Amino acid sequence: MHQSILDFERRRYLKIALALCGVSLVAYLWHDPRSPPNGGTWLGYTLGGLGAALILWLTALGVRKRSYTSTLGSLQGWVSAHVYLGLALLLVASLHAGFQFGWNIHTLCYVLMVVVIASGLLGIVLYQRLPQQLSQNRAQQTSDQMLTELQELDERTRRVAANASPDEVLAIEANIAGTRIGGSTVAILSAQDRSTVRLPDGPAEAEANPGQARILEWLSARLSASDDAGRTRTLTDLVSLIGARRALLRRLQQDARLRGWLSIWLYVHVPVTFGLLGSLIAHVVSVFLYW
Amino acid sequence: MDDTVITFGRSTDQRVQSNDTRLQLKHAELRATASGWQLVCIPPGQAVVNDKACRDARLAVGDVVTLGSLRLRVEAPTAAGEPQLSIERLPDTASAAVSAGAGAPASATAPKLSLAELGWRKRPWAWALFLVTVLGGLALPWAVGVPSDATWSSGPLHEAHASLEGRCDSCHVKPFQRVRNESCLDCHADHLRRHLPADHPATVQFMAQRCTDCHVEHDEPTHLVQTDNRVCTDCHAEPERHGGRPGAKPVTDFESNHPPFRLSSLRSEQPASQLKFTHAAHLDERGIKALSGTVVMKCADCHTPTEEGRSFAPIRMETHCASCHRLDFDPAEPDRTVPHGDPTEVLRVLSGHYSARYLAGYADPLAGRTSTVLPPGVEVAPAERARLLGVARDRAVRVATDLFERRACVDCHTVTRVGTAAEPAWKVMPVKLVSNWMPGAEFDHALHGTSLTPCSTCHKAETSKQASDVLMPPIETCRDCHRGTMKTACIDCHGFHGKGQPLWQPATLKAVLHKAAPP
Amino acid sequence: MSAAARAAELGVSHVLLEQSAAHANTIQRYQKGKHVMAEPNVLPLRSPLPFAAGVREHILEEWGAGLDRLGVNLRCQSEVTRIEGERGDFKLTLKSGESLRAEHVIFSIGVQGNPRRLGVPGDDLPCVQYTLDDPDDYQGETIVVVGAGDAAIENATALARQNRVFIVNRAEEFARVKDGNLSLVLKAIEDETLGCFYKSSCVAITATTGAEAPYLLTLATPEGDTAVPCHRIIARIGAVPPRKFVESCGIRFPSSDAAALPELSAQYESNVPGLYVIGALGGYPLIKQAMNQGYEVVSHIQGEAVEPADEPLLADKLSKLPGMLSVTETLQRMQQRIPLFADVNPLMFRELILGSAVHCPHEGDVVFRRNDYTNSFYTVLDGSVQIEFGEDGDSRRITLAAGQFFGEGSLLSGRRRSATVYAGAGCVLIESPRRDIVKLMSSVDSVRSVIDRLFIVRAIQSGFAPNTPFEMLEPIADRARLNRYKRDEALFKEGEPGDRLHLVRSGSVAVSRNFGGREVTLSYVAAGNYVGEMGLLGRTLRSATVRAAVPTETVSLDADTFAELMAHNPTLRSEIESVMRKRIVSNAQAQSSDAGGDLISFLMRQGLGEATDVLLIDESLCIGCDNCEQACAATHGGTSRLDRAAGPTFAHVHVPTSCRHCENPHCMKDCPPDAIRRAPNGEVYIQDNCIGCGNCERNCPYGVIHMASTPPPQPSLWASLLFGSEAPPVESTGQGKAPKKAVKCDMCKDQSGGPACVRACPTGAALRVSPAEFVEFVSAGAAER
Repeated sequence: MHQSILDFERRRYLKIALALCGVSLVAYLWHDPRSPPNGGTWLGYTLGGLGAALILWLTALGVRKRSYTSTLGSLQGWVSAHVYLGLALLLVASLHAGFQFGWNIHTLCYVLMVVVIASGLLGIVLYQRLPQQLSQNRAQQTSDQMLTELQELDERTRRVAANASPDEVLAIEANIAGTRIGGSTVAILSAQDRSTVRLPDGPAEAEANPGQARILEWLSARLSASDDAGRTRTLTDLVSLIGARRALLRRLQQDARLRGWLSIWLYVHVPVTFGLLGSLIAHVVSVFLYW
Repeated sequence: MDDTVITFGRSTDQRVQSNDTRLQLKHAELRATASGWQLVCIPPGQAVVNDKACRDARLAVGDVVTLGSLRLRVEAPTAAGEPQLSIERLPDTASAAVSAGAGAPASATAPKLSLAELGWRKRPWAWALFLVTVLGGLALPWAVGVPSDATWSSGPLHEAHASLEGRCDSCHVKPFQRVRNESCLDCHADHLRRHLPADHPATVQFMAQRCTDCHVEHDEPTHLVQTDNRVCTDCHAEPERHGGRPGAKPVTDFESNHPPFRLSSLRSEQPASQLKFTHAAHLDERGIKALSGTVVMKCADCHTPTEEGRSFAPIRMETHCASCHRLDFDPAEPDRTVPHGDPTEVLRVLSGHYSARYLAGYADPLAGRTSTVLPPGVEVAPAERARLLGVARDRAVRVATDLFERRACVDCHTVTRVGTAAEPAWKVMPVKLVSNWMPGAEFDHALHGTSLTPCSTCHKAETSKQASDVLMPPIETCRDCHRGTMKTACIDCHGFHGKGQPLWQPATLKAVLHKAAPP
Repeated sequence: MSAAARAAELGVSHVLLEQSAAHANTIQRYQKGKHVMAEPNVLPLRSPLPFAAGVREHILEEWGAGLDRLGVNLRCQSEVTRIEGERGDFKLTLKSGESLRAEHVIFSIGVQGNPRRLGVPGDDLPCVQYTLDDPDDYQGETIVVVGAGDAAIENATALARQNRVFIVNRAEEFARVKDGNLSLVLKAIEDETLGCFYKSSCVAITATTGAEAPYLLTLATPEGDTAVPCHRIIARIGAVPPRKFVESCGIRFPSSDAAALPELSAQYESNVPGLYVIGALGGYPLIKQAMNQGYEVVSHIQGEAVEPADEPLLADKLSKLPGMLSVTETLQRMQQRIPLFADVNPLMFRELILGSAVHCPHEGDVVFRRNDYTNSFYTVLDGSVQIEFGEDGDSRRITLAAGQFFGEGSLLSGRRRSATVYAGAGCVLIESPRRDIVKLMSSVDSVRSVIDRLFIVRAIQSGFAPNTPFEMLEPIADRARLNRYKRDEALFKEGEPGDRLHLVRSGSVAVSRNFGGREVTLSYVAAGNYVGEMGLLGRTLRSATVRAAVPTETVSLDADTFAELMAHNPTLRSEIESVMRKRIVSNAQAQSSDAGGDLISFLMRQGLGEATDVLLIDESLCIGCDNCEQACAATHGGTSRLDRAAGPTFAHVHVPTSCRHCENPHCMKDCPPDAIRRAPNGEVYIQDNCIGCGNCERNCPYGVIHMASTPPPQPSLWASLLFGSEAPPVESTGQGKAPKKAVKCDMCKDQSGGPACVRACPTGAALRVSPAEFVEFVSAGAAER
């Protein structure tokens, strides 16, 4: 019932894109101009026009995506076509250029196009792989729910800690205060935990505490040393709570990582697309300006 | 504060109430004693005093007590000695974060877990890139020429046009107007010739042509001349359809479909070289007799390449023939020769020579005298002098006749005797050598490596018995090599802007156009 | 109140008894700033008191002013405990003990009834309240919530955010509350954010001068009495339904059904002469209706012949009918004509007709088509109709004469129409909306039994014995049994002797089988189909367990009856065998993939059993762009009707919070202006005449309806696209806000091209599935996995 954008309508748009590539390639090979192939021959103009039209249409996805009342095909169809025709564009444009490149606005246009297509390719790959991991990692919780759960977990930890000795309370507070997940692009995309904890009997500067490792170690040391029954119970609870916290933090980080990757490529794809549009205008106008 | 006890906690009956769940319902008490504040926590409640956790503490002025989100600071007592305390509520990180978690606007303390929260934006960048490319790529170069419009150049110029590099406006005169022929003619007008004579019927269709149709710039690899045969064959494949002269032969390409070479110089009348010459005799590998003995001659002995090596220097009798074909006339004086050229001059030189001899008293049986040398100061008698001159003249005539008609000249030239017996004269047919049998095409000997390939590959000289033989090779000879890999473009031999045609100038263009305008 | 006002206007001696502290108790109870609507708009208002749609405060103020102006004799804080006597001499006993005498009594007490009081000394102190408008009104107080129901828990947990709260539970656990609330309260108690007294009850409330709090609540706990100092006590211990009290006054109800209404005359007079019943208790939930009735009753008592306010409306409706008679006469004629309505009291019938529409279609016109989703009920007033069963191929028609009715199938099962109906010659039809008929059925037993019986007959006929004549089936129908099952209750279990065949009348059932002690759901059978035929044909043991996926009604036939049926039509056996074969195959398939089975049961738990169309998201494709929500918002005036992220997930199939378009929509149950309708294609949607009462929101078990005020207009596409301009945020509840109305998914019935959420999904993760497709969906999904 569900079908991914790639095999939408039994890959209709893949076929169309391949046909397009085939036709332009055959035309390119059959057509042999008096001078080396370039954008100036009739075929060059044709392919150029085709490419420009494609670029405009591909950009129009942004509009179609937001015109919700539009009945012009389903958005999925658009995206599917966007993917395949976008890839076909790479060939069409290269043939248009006749593989002549140089340090000029025209090649800049081409380069930007390649960047856009490449980032789009990355996007396709990510869209194919990440969502499943995302949904597994979420385990029926939304990201916000996870955050809330984390806060509740901390509240509970604090309450339990209240029965523990003063410096353990300090340690727990320090641990909560020292938790650093996300916060920077790198941290998000690599899901790295930069948490630190400053232990009351430890060094003055905070110690690294990735995955709550340090605090757990510290607490378990305390636990093994404890002789009082009540105290042991409190510490055991704390350890298990921190354990839960550790797991939750990891899930949060994974969630952030996956969502980060799902979105980051767009931060290249979209702006560069507009760069492409600009350079396309410059390319077309300048070519006829100096005809 | 005059109360002696201040209670802290979550429950509403506490003097200082806070909903911070880190506090117990009844968490702690502060008792004002004579000696300052006394902090007492109600287990399991506890406080942090100056960053040290504890349950009970006696507080000094300046101490800071933290109870969950409450921060107490012990102030200096009032003048009346009443202890003072300042209480501040810290922002409750916990609830803030929770609210953030609940989807409310994220507070400072909530971890930033999405790129958007880190301030990643698409729109500003999109706009920036768009403007940069449009302005930098188009608007600015156009408006103020910054950065230079060279960024619009889609490829390098041919080296011939190197001087134009970066001076776009020298060709691209008017925006959105294709480069016009005038721009080219600015430089090329004075030597650029048209393909056809003005009266040629096909001329008209060249008028619409634009220089840039063939001479494409900004293309890689750079090239200015169309090497593609279709430039020619488009018309020459069916010349008549394109207004060619009736009977003009079709050409599609050199290898398979090109008419045989024609000696265009023979188009009018066969010009006899008027020379008695056979390559065969000269190139006889057995050698030929010369003063210096038998000599085996090579082509290069006579045909010396011009300095650029395309063609050959003209043949001169003095430089090429004279070494064998000597013009001496007096066995007594073998080094004396007559000049090559004007026959009358020859006769004049001879008679001059002999007169001087005889007057000097040269003993000669012909002169009919024995006593030879006159004593010094003795004048020859006038009668005698006249006789001697007559003798000398006769002698000169005899020698000339011998030279012209028997010995030297006739070897190569056709000589006819004119004039009387008394006043003999000779006429030597002028020699006409053809420097270029096929002016319609250009052949570069240098390219074909005269040094390497023997001349005989193309020119069958060894067997040529007639001076009238034309030793130009047939087209097949060229094709033997020029087929397959060694392709030949029309332009390799034939120039487009034909020699001898009128200059390609706007003026003449117009004239022609008017003349050839279809009714 | 309107009645009193009218009386005052006429200068009749009267007293308006109000149990609470101020006039218009019900509206007083509305939350602050609530926008009150004045439906039905068509109905003219006739009352000395003004009433127009507006903010609660404003309306109350106007009424207060009106009461003063007219000099209405209003007595607050006086609850009537007993009424005895008859016309001309009634004795009303007040709670305070004093008693009044009256010639006529008008009940306008509504159906909500009075909140049950604590009934302990001091429960009249100002600190005791029975409702909670806005939890955020109270901060830093100590509050005791008495009660263990959903209301109590919701109040307590809400208050606990900013107060110190105790909850008093008579039992030792929280029984009969929603799961959500249960976990909520238990967690709060565990977290000590909420104090709880189990097995405790209130003893007394006293005002103290204690430093802690102004009042002291004494509780009887297992550990003995304890005193809790508190600022406020909120009692949520349910309400006393007024019916008992009303019956104690001698008023009779036609049926024991809880929803039944008292029998009333055309003048709203009950069986006790001089006792009049108006408003919700009389079956008229809307304010305007009740006000009109008050006016009419008083006028009637004064001997004026008033024609009801709805007279012109009715007249207009009936004007289509040939032979113009007065409204009342026409209605009488109708009741005579239609046996079904013979013993419905005139008032109810009047109400029914008021809600209904009268059609005079031309011969051959289509009344409704097969597979339409309409669920209204038709009675043939005159002429006849042709009912065409079956596919176009083998269709057979039966004719209904005047007086008969049809459309009960969809009415009861909530399924698509099973037949196409063509109007006959001179046909006059009355189309009554489902809601009114259901109301009627619940209050008049005769109507219910007739309809039920006919349903069974027709069900059997269309299901098994197409060619058997009607009357031949009736004896069989009498032997058929009508069964009702609660969610997850078993119709029959695997291994039992198979003796009955069930025809699912409404709801749906899940077929499961036991594998290694674990019940694996194999398939699901929707209403209109039958189950149990396997066991029945071969008289073998049941091969599978069948449970109700949702509250379900079935008609069951025992083996002998069934054998008789098969005797009637020889083809039946083969037909059923073919169905059986299909089912065995599909079961085997489902069996082969546990995931499939688990997926089915998962989806069943999400209420697909009663769904007609549900949004499913494949999380292996969903990239979480929320374009679906934006599309929904954009196509529905700025408020999204679905919440993508929320909702359960199983095997990558995510059921977002969005309407299931149930067969018998829970939301329709209690909608005062009858604003929730079902479109012919099955979409359940809310009309603009919603009054924002929030009943549907409460009634929806899937939490897909919410109240929202229309947000400011969205920026233009290009503005948002190029400059990222966004609509200002929608403001939350409070005074002076745009009126809040209920919003829910309408499946974009007005959008060409289908649901926007699906069309707007860039990756094809969003999908709408109907029960028909959804088994296929599951097996497809199972195939993938």
